[in-house]
Amino acid sequence: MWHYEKRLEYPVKITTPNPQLAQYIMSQYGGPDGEMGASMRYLSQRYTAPNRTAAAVLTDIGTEELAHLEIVATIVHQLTRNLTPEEIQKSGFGAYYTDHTAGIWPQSAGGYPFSASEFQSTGDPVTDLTENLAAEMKARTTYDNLLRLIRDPEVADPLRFLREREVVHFQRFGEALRSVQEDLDAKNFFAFNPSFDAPVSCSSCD
Amino acid sequence: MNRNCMNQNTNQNCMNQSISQNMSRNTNQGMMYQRSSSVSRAQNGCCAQNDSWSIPADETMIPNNCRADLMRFIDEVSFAAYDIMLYLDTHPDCQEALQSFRKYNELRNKALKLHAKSYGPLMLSSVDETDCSAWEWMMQPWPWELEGGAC
Repeated sequence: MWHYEKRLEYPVKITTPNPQLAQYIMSQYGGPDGEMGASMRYLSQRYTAPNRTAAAVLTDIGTEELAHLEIVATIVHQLTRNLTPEEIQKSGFGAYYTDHTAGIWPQSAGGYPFSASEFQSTGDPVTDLTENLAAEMKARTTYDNLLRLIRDPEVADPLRFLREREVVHFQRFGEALRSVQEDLDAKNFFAFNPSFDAPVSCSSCD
Repeated sequence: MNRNCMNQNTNQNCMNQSISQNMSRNTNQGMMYQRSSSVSRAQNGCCAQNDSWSIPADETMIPNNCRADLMRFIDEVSFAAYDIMLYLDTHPDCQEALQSFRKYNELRNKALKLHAKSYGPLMLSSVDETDCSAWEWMMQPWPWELEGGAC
């Protein structure tokens, strides 16, 4: 169950449209390391979380990613308001505009539609949490790449907030992974999948 | 793993390593709480506070005469409560974090009530606080609207 709160996690107020930047930034909406993939990844993985810590971290970070999805969409929306046909043609926004006008649709900067094949839910918590560490770093790199191109402080400011959250999430996922490994055999974390191969206790051996 | 939520096996300094580290690291790197000085939110007198996100200390700081300032207060205490919640997920026995969470969550609830009463509800749970015969939830600005939250 989720409830909507009528505010952004971090405010966005962009007064100067820039459709070229919008084309780049929309990758963090529906691109390979974007917020849509992040939220779907964590909220899907949580059902096979093997302990309280991992289930809580996956649920709460997955929820925050939905808030980030809304921030990115707001940035793209505000960057594409009141465009003239000339601006659309000059900025390279024409291909997107042809299919979506100024609507929000999940795709990468290069035009590939959002795909669930960009994330995994393996049902193995060690594997999933390790994927999440990489995912947070990939998203951080993408924000770094965007921030190198952006001169408008009204656009850079919320992107810096989002970038920093990737670093905090990386930290929390690292702690969640450690909590899972602490419940496993330190000599071989990979002896079995703790969410599937429940160690069998043989009643006659007790 | 069976963690007792009120387990007293507590490290009183546990917050120092994370929450304050996150905050001060961000400040040092200028990454998060330092809004660029060229981003001016102060279009008129009532929003003329400084541009850095800060964590408000107590309820006397809840702004009661400017919608944008109140919204910003809600953003700040909500973020503090949320970030501490995430920390508590991996440090459930940290008493310092528990106390901080309760403090910011209480400030947040008070500010949300005030917002509902003065300007309209931000969530369905505070619709009851509004004093209006029409359906205010739908009338309030949506967060992606540039006009939203302006003074």
